[in-house]
Amino acid sequence: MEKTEIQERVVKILTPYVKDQGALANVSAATNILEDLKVNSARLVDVVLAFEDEFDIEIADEDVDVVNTVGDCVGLIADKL
Amino acid sequence: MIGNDVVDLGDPEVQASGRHPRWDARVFSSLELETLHASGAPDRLRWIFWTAKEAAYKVARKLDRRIVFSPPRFEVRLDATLRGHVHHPEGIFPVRVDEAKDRLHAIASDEEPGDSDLLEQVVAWDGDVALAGKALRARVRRELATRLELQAEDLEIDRIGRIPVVLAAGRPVDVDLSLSHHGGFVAFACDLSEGAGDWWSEARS
Repeated sequence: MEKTEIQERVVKILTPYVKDQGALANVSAATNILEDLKVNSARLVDVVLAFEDEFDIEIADEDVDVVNTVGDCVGLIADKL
Repeated sequence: MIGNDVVDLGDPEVQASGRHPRWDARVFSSLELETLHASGAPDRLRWIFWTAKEAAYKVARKLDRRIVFSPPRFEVRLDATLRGHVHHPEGIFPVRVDEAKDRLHAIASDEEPGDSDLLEQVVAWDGDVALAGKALRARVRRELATRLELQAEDLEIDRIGRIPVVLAAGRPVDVDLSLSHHGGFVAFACDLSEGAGDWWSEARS
């Protein structure tokens, strides 16, 4: 799967949990999920579970700990596919 | 060391309808799941556990930056007054959860209460979510300046990783700070006891 397609699906999953909807207009690989999109940590659990369902992968808490940006998500998922 | 976390119980995200079906299994230990299932108010207890985990994680991360936020590994054990401990393989963290009708606020530390000189606040926030952090930092600077007899404009809140630290004229201030924001509330807790800032001023140098 191409990374551009993964990113599109990642952003689609993130969108319902984004508190700062204005930040979505300029979303990129460098966008920080907690600080820019204001996704809170409890909702990040939902996001990770949705990634697991969408891409049929398993994501450990240790993996989540090093994810800060949309690009980090894409890289993590691409590595597991 | 101090960690705090606030949960807005009125925020739509807190409602069960938006939660993934595997959320509880991902977040809670088997003991916590048993307690939830036996509870007459599982929705409220769910967020009591969550906020205690978050607060304890913030302390644990200061103790050891290698510790990751793996929620089931931060097991919450509270008494009826919502005082107790969060048990983690790397340590046991005293915690208390203060509850109001519309929000929860947890304070965790690395030592039993009574040894810390604590400044804490929970404040309603109904402004732009993008500005909540800035408003919270301004409030912390104002409150700390009063307490420390300094000028608020001389105080700066910096970060080591995601951990907030306080500087005055570019030099470390001997306090340990924790910030939190959720929904319509912002909160902070600050340990002002002597040596509270040693861990980060040493790490920073």
